[in-house]
Amino acid sequence: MTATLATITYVYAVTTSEPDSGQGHTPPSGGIDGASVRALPVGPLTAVVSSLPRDHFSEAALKDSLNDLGRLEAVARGHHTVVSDMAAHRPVLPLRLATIYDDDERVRQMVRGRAREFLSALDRFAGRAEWGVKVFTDDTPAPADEGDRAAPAPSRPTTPGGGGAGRAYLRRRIQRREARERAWERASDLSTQLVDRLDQLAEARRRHRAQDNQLSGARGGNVLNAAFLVSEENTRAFAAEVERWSRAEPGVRVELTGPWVPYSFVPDCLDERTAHGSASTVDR
Amino acid sequence: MATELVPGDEDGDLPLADRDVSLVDLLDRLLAGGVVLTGDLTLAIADVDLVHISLRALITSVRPDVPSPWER
Repeated sequence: MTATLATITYVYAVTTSEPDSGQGHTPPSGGIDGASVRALPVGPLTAVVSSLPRDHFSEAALKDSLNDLGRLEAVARGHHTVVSDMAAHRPVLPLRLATIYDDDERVRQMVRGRAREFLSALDRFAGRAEWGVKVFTDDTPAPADEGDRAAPAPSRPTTPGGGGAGRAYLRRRIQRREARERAWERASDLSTQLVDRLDQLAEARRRHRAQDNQLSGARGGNVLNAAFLVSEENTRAFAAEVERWSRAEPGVRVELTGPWVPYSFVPDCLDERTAHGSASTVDR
Repeated sequence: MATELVPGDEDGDLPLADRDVSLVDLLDRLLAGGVVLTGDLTLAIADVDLVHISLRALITSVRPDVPSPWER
């Protein structure tokens, strides 16, 4: 009976409808792959959606395309741009990347079925934003290290008691490793204290997996990668606190990112699944 | 890239639509955050598999010397 449409409905986010204006709000332009973004009103809520070609967004096609870094980035940035543009005007509940329905009617059914949960989550996010805080060891090698790295390891073992280049090389290697360990310890200590302090200003915290610096391109090791849910009133104090700690310890770098739409805090309050398989852990 | 440590919100309007966000920071959030619903086509995609697959894609694309684990 029902013909399969050539498009699917991609849902970026759910937000509140504007009760006072008949025309609703203007959705942002430029969704994934430049698709137009539509507002789909469902009672007190609005789903923010795009129609995208079914053959590019089938499960199999997505598995392939999301394995391609360029495509993954295009989808991720398209998703994020729509979500963050919406969030400039109203609280937004972002959906997981690549949440796809057969058509608009299926989206309406979903939103109607979960309206209460969505409204209470939106209420929780009103006037709050997510901030990311990362702590790194800053192990920019000292000039001596650079020269050392260029020097090859001794090709033959040195004789016992002979000292010489081989022993000096090993000593330097050990010193470097110890210096790295000390830097990591200092950064860990600072992270513990920083998190304690920031917890007092934030409403919730979530820890993300440490970032591989080969992915992030960051110098040094990532000791802390956390997200905090912060109210507007506390934002300045929060940022000032992070800045204060960023100068507290030489060799430890503290970075602040944000404000983010509270992506990291959605799963706590609204998730069909249990925490099973989550890449992150909720701290409190 | 980290934004300025003290947000420049002269009129209380925070720069939410920051186009300079790093892909890694974005994926931390998009792959582990957001409402997980059972869409019509997303049963496996919205799953943790995606995180692994995507991060492996990232690693292999950043380090071309590492053979792709799914092309063997």
